[in-house]
Amino acid sequence: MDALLAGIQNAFALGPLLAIAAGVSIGIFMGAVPGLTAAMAIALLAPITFGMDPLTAVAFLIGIYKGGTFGGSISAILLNVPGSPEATATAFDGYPLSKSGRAKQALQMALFASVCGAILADLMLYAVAGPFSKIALKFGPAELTFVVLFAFTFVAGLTGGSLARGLIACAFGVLCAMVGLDPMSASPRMTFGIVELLDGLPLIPIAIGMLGLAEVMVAAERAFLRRKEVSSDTESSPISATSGPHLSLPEFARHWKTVLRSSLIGSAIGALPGIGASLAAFIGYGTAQKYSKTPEKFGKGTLDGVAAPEAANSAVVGGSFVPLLTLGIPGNVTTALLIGTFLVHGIEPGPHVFKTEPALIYGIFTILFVANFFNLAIGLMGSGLYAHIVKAPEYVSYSIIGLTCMTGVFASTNSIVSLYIMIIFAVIGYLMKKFDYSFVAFLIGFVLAPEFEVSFRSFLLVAQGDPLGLLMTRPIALAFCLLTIVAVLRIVWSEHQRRTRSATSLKNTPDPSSGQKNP
Amino acid sequence: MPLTNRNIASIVIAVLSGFALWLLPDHVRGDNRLFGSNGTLLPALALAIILGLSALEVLQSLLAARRSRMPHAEDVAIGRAALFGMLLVTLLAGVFAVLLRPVGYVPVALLLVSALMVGTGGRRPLVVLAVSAVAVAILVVGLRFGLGVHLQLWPSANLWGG
Repeated sequence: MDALLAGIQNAFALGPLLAIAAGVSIGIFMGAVPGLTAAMAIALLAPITFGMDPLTAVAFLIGIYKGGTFGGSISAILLNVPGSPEATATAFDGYPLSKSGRAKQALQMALFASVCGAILADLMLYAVAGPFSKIALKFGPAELTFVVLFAFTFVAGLTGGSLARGLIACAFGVLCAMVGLDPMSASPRMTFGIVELLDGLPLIPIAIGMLGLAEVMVAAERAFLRRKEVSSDTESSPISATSGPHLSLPEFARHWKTVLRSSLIGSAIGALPGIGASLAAFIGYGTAQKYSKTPEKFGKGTLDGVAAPEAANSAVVGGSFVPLLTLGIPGNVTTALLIGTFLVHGIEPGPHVFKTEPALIYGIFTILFVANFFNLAIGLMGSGLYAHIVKAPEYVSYSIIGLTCMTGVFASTNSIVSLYIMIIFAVIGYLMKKFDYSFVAFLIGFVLAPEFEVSFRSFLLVAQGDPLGLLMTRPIALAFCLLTIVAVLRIVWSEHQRRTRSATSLKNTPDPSSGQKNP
Repeated sequence: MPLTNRNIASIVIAVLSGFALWLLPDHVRGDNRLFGSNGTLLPALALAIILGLSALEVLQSLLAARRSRMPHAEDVAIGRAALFGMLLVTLLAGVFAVLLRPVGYVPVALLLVSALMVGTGGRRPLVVLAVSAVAVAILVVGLRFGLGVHLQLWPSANLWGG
């Protein structure tokens, strides 16, 4: 009880509150600009939190995460261009609503549903995280090995173009994390005589390179292709964010079932690693359509079609903190970056942190909760302004991002080697994106590898040459081992089915060489 | 049978990981038996997974291509635009990293941001220069007075032979 009160008191200090406000404002802005995401904002701005106290730093980053999740809906609704991938489903009904003169209603529905979904997920986090951490405290090397292995497989299978490519990306992340000192013998490994690499490859330059600088490469590629096209003067201008009527409270309340259902879906999906907010939004949208009395209105401009994906993708934020705080396992890019920043501030997420620093944990819970109200206030006041910002030309936003990437990495590390590491990983990130190797799988492999290595090698030491025998005596580890096998088989089977379907559809297309139609 | 860009990428990855696996023991100090319970274990496993799965991808793709009439249907296009994007950013970022210490932050930052603007589609010189100057000024002021980070802003005296 004392820890809870201390946590609430710490969270309501001026520093964390200002940090939440700043984070939410930046997050909404980054989410609203197409191509920029909350994860990119966290990667870019994490270095400036290094001088803050841990709770203020966490408050700032959580603010960005929450704001970014809602921000994506602004450009989805006004421009029909999702600001972030998770807002894709919001555009299905948000843009038709805007075109029919109800932009303000659509934006307010997105905001209210987003905040309600996030609040419900945060309440569930309060209820679930404590008891779950008590179970997690009983985890030894065997359990941790197979929990992380399960996370690797799940993320690799669900985030890339194929399981094989996902596993390659994850293994590459693990390999990169092995640079530096061996954690068990403290002897140098793959450092190539470079002193800076003794501490390992730094997370922030890698993340900024792969998320930020690689996106600038993509923007330059798009600009090159645009040179051959006709001027974009003919494009339709975006719709005003202040057009149309307000969303009344009774009108919002009529959609409570959709919001509640999507929040539960989002929270559950958030707690599973690798699935992410985009899929949660689509499942929320699909389920809302399935249970709707007027499913035919979906896609033509219904408020349910905006509420469902927004509540689901925002609920993912709270859900994703369950494995992050109780097991120290990130489920997506944003939480992987948060883990890296937590570690810089001396916070090691996992079951032990509930015992060692309960006030900090309750402080984080309170910040998650309070950030929703900041999101509501800033979203209500600033949606008109953000709607103007999303119209900024691409060359302005991406060139400034390029400069911020370089400046941020150098200012935080004061090392030219870090700049070179960032540039190398920007090229790798760009090629990974091109060839469909999952960046999420890479990052989760990179972040979890050190813990995985210690657990795995300890497990092998304890097993004394009989790992299977030891596994049989550890039911939780055995369960996760079986889950991993089932997940692999399930993913391989669904990939096989997808390939068969695409081969069948290719067979039915006309043969380009013969110029004849198939019978 | 012509190889797709995806196949070529998988072959390059497989060859590089095989080469890295062969070199790995030389870059691990102390007990470095490959796949022993030591510092090589996880890197070696990771490299073996990359090698095995990349080879599998190539085989699978080649087998599928024999049955398909459009083996290049799902290939990745690496054209001039992609090379332009990659080279522009890599070169400008490389120049920034090389010149930062001798030339100072303000000149290299202005060069980087204005060149990136032109590279990503900026065509009005006045807008490019104005936005670059404002962006660099905001970052310098923010770093110095907001975060207390003191960067070397202008060329050092040594550069001019001082």
